[in-house]
Amino acid sequence: MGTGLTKKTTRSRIMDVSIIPKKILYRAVLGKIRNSSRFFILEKDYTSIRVIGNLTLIVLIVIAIITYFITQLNIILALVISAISSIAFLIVFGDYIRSKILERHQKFDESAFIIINSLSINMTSTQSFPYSIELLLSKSGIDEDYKKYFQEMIYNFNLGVDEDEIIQESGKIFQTKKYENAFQNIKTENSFIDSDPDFLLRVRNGIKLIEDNIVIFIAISCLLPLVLSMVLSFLLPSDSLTIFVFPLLYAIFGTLVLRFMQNRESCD
Amino acid sequence: MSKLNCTEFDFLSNIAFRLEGGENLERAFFLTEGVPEDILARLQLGEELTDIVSSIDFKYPALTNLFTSIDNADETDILERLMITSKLIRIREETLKEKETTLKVHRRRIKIIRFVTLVVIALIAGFSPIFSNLYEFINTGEFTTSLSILSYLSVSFLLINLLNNYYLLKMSNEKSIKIRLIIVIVLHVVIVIGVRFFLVGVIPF
Repeated sequence: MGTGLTKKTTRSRIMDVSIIPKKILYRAVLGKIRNSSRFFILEKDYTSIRVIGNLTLIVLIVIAIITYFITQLNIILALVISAISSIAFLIVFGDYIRSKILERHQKFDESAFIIINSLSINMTSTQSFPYSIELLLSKSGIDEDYKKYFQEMIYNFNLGVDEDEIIQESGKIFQTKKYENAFQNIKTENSFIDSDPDFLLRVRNGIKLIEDNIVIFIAISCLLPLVLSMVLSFLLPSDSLTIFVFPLLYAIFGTLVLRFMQNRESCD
Repeated sequence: MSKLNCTEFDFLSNIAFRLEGGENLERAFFLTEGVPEDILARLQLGEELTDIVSSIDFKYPALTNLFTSIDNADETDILERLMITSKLIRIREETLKEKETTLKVHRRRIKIIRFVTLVVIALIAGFSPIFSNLYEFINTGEFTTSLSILSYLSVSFLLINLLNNYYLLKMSNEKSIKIRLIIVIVLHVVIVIGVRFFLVGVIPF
């Protein structure tokens, strides 16, 4: 039992280490969503980001050494290829985690108004905020991902934190100002959400954005890999490592374009 | 957990319609089509609606809570609120359905583009030994006569193909991307090997 625990703590300690400074790493991987979706970034996401960050450095070193010997001791080429491939590694895998967080946030946003309305109904019948939250949690009405957030409210309440303060602070999980205000006014009668034009507008905007983006992306994804790979294969010998620079640059560029689109979609 | 036999949108609009007609929630469940048999049987046996609702597998988990909230007071005010929420969900479902249909058209287009680019890139990768021979020819004035498909060039083509598919899959919000990418690798390798056999047969060395 004792060894098991020690093992676990050693493991978690190793997972906690980040060679790249955490601030820079999180900013590079998460970008804008670090603020806008901060309640949906779980501890395991941070762990994965740290692991990816550490692996990036390992990729950098290993590829630098391999290319150094393959390119017959050409140190500049080795450094360029390893730098590009490690950046591509960080961006592509970081984006995978980033889009998972965004998906989680979107799922919450879609059912946020049901949560507020349920709470409002609970408040009318119980007249007690902590009891309403307990009711909300009791019937598996909430996803595991953000259950903790609501459990923490009850925990804080039991610790003796002022109820109004909890309500004011906790409302920040809702991205839309209307929902946030509704939650912060949960004790009053008018917190109930009876119309939701923002959501419809957002979905319509989202559709339009996707329609626009698809044209751009198809142009990029069809033209870039096809034309440039043809041209490059004529320009470079097939046994030159420089060839790898192109797919890696495509990886960085493509992911950044995708990320830019996601940013616009979540900010609109 | 039992699933509804109809879409959530149909179920909710039916419930909302019954509630509007003055029925209570239990009666609304009985009168609505699409409620699973076992749920109705449990209702008939006299179980509490609030307990039964938790065993329905809703797409929005928060819906369970909405129905169970009513347990604590059956005032008309709450019923009305429940009805408004149901209506809101109905509008949402309609909008999301509209979004899905629009995306479906795009998804089909992207699928065609994905397959076309997959095959074209794999074909180019298959013909890549010829490119390297041409490169040698331009440089040295003679062909190397090597038709090896194991070169950096063909690996980079595989990478490009994988990335291209990954982006297009993400663009169309597809699920199980990893499995689809494995299929891409298999297809790519099959096409490359197929082209190589063709080349060996066509080019006399």
